[in-house]
Amino acid sequence: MGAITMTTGCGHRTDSRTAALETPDFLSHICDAPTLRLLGAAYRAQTPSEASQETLIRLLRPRVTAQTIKADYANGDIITLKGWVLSRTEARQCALFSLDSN
Amino acid sequence: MHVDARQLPENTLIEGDICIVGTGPAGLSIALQWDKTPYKVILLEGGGLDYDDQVQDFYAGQSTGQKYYPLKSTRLHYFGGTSNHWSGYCSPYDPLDFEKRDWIPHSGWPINRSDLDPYYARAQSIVDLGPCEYDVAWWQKKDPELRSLLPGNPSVWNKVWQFSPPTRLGKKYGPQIMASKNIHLYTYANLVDITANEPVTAIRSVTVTNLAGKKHTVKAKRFVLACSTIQNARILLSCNTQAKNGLGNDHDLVGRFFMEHLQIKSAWLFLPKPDPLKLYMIDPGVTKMRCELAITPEMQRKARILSGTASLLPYGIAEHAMASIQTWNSDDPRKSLSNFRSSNAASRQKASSTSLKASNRFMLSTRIEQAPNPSSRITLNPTEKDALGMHRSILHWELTPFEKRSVRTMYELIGQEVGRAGVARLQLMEHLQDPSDYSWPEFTSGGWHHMGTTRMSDDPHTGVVDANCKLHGVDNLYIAGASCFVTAAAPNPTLTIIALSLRLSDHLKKQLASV
Repeated sequence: MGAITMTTGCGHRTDSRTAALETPDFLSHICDAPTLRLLGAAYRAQTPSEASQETLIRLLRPRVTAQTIKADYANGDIITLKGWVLSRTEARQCALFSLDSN
Repeated sequence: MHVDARQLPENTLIEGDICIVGTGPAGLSIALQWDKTPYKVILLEGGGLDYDDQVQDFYAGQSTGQKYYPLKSTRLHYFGGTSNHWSGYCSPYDPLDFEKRDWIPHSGWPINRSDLDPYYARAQSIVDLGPCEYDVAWWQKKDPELRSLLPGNPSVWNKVWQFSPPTRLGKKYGPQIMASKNIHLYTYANLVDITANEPVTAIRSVTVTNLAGKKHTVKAKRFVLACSTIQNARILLSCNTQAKNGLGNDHDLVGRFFMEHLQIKSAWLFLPKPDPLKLYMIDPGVTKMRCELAITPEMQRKARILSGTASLLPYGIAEHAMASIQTWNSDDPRKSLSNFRSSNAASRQKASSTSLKASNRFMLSTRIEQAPNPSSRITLNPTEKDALGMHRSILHWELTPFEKRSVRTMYELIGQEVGRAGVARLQLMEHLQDPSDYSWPEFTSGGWHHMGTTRMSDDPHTGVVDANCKLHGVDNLYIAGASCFVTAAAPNPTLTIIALSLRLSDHLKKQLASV
């Protein structure tokens, strides 16, 4: 599993701000795009109320930083998807990525 | 002095001040403390100076419950005992391990870690360890490359292990024992009966025998049973002529609370770039120390989990590694050891040299205590006896959902902390992913660490021995070894076995001095 290329699999890339939101920066260095999509799909299935692109963008705005994600971990706002212990924010990023790259 | 009990005249009476039964790490550690003292020490070994398969067969037994290794192969029945094939992993138990933990039924030793501290320091040299330093900072000062994955973390800390060469106690201390004028080693002297006074408050003698058919009597002022966790229980249960339920078993505790360390691959750790993580690596036979990730006492309390650690193995090795339950599969301990070592060596050979220098993916493997469980136990097989007429053992190793929840929680916590620190991400392996799944996969292994069957307690209703390892109700019979452990903690038990044995030895010296 190498670092992903964010253009991989994206049929209809949204604007650059959305692209930034859907990039789980740390995770993208250790997971490939199919894995991120898998995690994103798992999050959407597990959290149907956040399954739409609009909702995910709203929840991730205005921006996501490494500190946002670290804060999730520090606050225990974590979720386990396919065994991955992820911050809520990066799980949402994966979900958005999985929608945007379908 | 060494005597082969097969060569003695039938019905020889052997007498001494103290009789130690067993020459493994517990028995030998005690015996060595008595060399050059005015006391005559009788040291009994059921086997010889080398492996003897006919004697080894006395350890054969049946297993029910959780899948386990062939019992015959998990302990060695000759001079030096299981130190003849141990791996040398050493680390002291933590203070919390001795405490009564309200979330763990039957936890709480009648002694504290501080009671063992001076004995841990002495135990170090017996198995040729380095300084008694288990603070990672001490080692990091010596080698700055020993960088912590999670420095100063409130939930996850670095538990230090030191590695014995590993010392084969029989080989190392055999010459001293043989040359000793006051330690009398008898090999091929298997304890088959214990005779007490009436009403069973003191031991008068023990009976030993061998496959040559020679039976002898040993009399002493104090007796120490140091025959391993399974055999200690087996012997006490077998001595049921004078004590109907077995010696020391008035409260149906002997053999219960058998504990093992669960050893199981559990998670993957992913780093953004390759890192040697030298602090956590082991090169067998070379490395003097390493760390495993452990959950802090504060977080154990908060999460109400058992004590466990996670060791790291580079993916390059881990992808080829087999679980020990799959390789330690022969009744013959020599074959099991060979299979086990060959498998480990092969997985290292298959790994590329690059992946060994640094990796961005590591397998996390658990070693965790099991909760003390009265249903996890040793009993006697009513229908099967060994060649000396002793009933064979049955091990029923039983785990509970508590262990599974603890393992899962441990990795969720580590996953949370590596995420918080921004250093890695963690993925639970499949068998831990469903929180409602309490089953164990087929590769679930034990650590070959048997503990708990004559547990320690101040109260005879809850323990077989008291805080000095003396059998409740019997004035002069002591038990040495991990059978006295109340809880299993996370570390390999040998260092604590030796420390507890040294403490017992000091106690016995005081006892005999006052006689």
